[in-house]
Amino acid sequence: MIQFTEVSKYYDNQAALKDATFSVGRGELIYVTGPSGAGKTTLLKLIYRAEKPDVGKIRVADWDVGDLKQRTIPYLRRNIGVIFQDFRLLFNRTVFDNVALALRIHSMHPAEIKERCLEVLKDVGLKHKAYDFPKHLSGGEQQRVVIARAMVSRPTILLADEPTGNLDADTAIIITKLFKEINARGATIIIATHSQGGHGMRAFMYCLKTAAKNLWHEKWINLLTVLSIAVGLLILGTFVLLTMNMESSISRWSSGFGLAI
Amino acid sequence: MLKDYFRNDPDVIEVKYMPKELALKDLQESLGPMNSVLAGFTDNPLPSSFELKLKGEALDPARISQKTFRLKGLAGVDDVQYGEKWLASLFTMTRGVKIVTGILSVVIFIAIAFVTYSTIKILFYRRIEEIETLKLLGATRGFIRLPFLLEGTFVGTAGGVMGLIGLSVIYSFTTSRIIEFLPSLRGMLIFFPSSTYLAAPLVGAVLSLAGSFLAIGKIKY
Ligand SMILES: Nc1ncnc2c1ncn2[C@@H]1O[C@H](COP(=O)(O)OP(=O)(O)OP(=O)(O)O)[C@@H](O)[C@H]1O
Ligand SMILES: [Mg+2]
Repeated sequence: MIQFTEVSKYYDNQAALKDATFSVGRGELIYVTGPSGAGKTTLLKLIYRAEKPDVGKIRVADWDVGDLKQRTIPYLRRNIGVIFQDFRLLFNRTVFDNVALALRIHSMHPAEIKERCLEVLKDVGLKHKAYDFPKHLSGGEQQRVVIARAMVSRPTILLADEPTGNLDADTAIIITKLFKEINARGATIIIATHSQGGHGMRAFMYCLKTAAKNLWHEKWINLLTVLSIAVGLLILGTFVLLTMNMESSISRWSSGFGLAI
Repeated sequence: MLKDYFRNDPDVIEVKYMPKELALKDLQESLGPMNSVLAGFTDNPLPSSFELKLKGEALDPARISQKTFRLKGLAGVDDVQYGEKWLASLFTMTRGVKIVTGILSVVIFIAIAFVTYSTIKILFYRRIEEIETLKLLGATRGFIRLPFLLEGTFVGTAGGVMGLIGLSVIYSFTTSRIIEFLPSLRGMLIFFPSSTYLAAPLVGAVLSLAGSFLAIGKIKY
């Protein structure tokens, strides 16, 4: 299903991944472990083509990922569910909408989207918070939203980057059981993890930072645009009407063309 | 016959003969209670006349004065009257306004497209993180671009509608003012053309769509 052949990835001449050769079969569940900075996230990014390999060949299903055309990338990604280490939740949308997004991009029927989203939110124990906004959720709850979003489209490949880093032992066990379940249904799963936690803090801070984004301003930007267009058309319309009226008065004038005999 | 001569002139749309008796009656009626001033005349002081209605393109001042000259030479024609000064100045004024309108429409069209272009660019960069996430989830280019195109078109249409409202308010206000002072202009002012109701929102929508298209056209994907 996934095959790396002598793959290397460099950031600023520093190898994040060097000469990686391995393969993961269909329906396998494997763990990628290593200390922080070992290149686990990089490895996953190479699979869903968020990064391009500098050297080597990557095959995912029937795709040659390193050589993929820009246009085809979305179709590769639709087969891959990713639990991002940095969550990547949209803070201006509810939990439900965040999860639903993964299905909306498939232009699925809204009724089915709703059913599947609520089902998967129940699986991760967040059904009661479906219509809350992510910023009101704890770090662990946010992580479960990310897990739900990755699973909801029932991808053939699930990439989990530190999926239980923010979870207490009990919830972590529930999530791990969930992975085993979808693995049993045939999905290929790669879980990246290091033994000790400690990433929770960074991820949570990142979320707080993005939550500060103020969407209210967009309305004003739009209103300003509407007003300037209105003024422009108003001025133009005045002149057009003036021209039309003057022309019509010229042609009406012609009826006064008189001859005396 | 003069009438046949006028009828055969391709510039003439309509010929109306006004015999002098009728002209007098008209005058008496329009004078109303003051028509006693006409009692002093034993003879009808008014001439018989023809009223000609000309085609729009025949109303060029040079052509008109040429035609007048020719008509004056016809047997039986004493005088030819039209508002030559008035017509000529109206004509040059209209031509000037037309040119200004032309230039203005180009400028304003570009401005509208540009305003939407910048807005959509701003909105795009504000949502860049969101777009990045959508891409990672497997969204296609079309899925990402569509909301921006819709937003741009909506903004343009809204601008068009608002401009239209403002325009009709200004128009009805000024025309009512003009008619108050110069009631005789009532017939001259054409009604607010109904095509404007469609044109303003449409122009706004199309230009804004074009602007947003340009703004997000270069998204790499
Ligand atoms: N976008 C980037 N630009 C520059 N260097 C990067 C970038 N992404 C990763 N790196 C570097 O590549 C190395 C591997 O990073 P990676 O994120 O894959 O580690 P990781 O194993 O996931 O670590 P962690 O367990 O902390 O998440 C690190 O040294 C990191 O500094
Ligand atoms: Mg990592």
